Amino acid sequence: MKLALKLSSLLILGMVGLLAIDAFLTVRRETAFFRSDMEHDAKLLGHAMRTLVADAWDTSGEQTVLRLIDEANQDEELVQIRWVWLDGTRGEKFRPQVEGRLLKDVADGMELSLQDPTGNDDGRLITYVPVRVSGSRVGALEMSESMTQLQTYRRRMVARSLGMMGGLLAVSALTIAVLGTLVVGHPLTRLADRVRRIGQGDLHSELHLKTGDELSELATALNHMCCELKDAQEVARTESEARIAALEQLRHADRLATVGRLASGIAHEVGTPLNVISARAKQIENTRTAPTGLRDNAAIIGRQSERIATIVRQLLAFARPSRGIRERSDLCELMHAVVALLQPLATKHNVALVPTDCPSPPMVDVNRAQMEHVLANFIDNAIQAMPDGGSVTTRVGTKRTRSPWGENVKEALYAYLVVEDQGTGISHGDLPKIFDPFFTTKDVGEGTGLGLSLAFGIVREHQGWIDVTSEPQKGSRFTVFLPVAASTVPKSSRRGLPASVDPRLSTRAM
Amino acid sequence: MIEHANKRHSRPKVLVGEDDAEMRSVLSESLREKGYEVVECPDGLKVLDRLSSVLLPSTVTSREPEHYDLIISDIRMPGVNGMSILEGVKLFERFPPMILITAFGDEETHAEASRLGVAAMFDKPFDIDALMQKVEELAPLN
Repeated sequence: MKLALKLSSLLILGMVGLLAIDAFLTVRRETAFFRSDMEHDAKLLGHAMRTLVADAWDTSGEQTVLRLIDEANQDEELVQIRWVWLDGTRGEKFRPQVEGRLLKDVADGMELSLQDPTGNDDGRLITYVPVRVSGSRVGALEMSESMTQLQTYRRRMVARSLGMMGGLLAVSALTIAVLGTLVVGHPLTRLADRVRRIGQGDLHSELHLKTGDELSELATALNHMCCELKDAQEVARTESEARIAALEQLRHADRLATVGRLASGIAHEVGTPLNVISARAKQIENTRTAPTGLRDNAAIIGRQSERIATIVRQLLAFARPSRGIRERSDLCELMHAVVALLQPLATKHNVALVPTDCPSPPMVDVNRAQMEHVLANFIDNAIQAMPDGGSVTTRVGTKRTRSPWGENVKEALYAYLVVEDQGTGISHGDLPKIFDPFFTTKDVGEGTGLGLSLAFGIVREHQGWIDVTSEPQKGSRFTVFLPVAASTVPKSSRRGLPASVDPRLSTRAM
Repeated sequence: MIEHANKRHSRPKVLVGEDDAEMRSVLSESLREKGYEVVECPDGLKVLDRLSSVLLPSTVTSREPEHYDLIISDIRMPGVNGMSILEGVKLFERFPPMILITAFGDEETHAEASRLGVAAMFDKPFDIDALMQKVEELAPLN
């Protein structure tokens, strides 16, 4: 409706304006004609009378003429005729109605018509026709006619014009209202509605407009667009899923590669208990062993089996694919578990894994499998950095600091996990590249170079970051920073368990 | 020389170096059951300590010299490891044969041990009877 109104309002205003101008000009012209006619008639009458009056004056004398004029006037309604003396003397009866100074030309012989608006009616048209009579005095016939007719005529014409313009406006308004709504407003509203729904995500319903004009074309185009948007969305979703799946596979592959490395260390751990078990089992088989000896041997076998079982369980737990949920975890306990897992590997390479220094355990919402993977990677790297042996220290704590991601970040409480070695270190040139995928300083076949880049990705997803300090031949220190879990519902949990307020959280020191 | 002759008719003595208590227990029990005398050491330093009395003259150690007919040692031990002991033992004229046991039995280690003159090497987990057979071969009871 609004559109139609906008389009047509200018047109309507233009038409009405033109009509108004036309009406005004017509009324003025007609009025002028009317008045002209009135003047003409008065003058003709004057001329006709002039001759008669002049003759009668000569024949019958002044008094007779004046009396005749007077009598004639009594009968006449429309036009009042009077004899006037232009010099203004001789009293009231023969004084012209209008001021003497206006009648100068009449005295010289000119005819004159004036409009005299005095009185409480529409005015009168007064015409003077000079008449030459005997004697030196100048006289004239004064004819005065009411202009009521003219004014009435004028008023009627104006009213008619106004009525026509009003009628035109009304009809136009009605037409616009009806047609505008039907042809323009309604389809546009439906289109706007459809677009709004698309904005809200509804790409399925279709809009069919049967108006047979550009609006129905627009509706068709919209439906087309929806189709293509749907397809694009589908493609994007598939690609995104594929990418996530690929990343998960890569992480799993790297985790398994680490398991492979751990396995050689595990052999040490498992070989000895197995040896004990087989020897003791043989002793049980040996009939010479005393019953108490049997029970002792059985107990020993049980304990050694449990030892192996623990190792196997630890390894399986580490090798499992990540379940993608985050749990509130004690980071000290997490670090302990990883250190225990890597102990055999460390021993194999004559590296001492110092027990974790952890003054106040922080609680963080983490994907355990992923975080274990990260720490295992760091500790493995530390071990490999010291081919001639050494010690690897680990530390866990909390610290107030600012995240390097984003701008204008405020200080907040973060948990940190440190893995430090006394190994070969990282050269200044290599340091910026260590998190690049496939970057490695090891020999061909010794690792994929993916570990640190995957670690980087995992820590980033946890809204954390990794700090690296290193000096060639002195050692390296890797620090993972993670945001400490808030004591209310954590923002970072995905498909996670509902958070429950842990009463211990508030008592944990910084 | 004289010490050698004196000890001949007593039981053969085996020096066992192994940090895992249960493993050490198994070895000692099996050896004792067979009839050997066993001296247990939980780490490499203790092994060396014991061996010094064999390998060095009593004037240096100021101890009663001991005699060992065989050494059985794990490679991975805290302090001095078995391989180093093997290497060290060879420096002396009279050295007992050595059996190394290990969980890390890769080619390199075996080759190294052979080069250093190890009498036998067993990878864990091994058959205890097989070990005992070798022990008897190297340090016969009679």
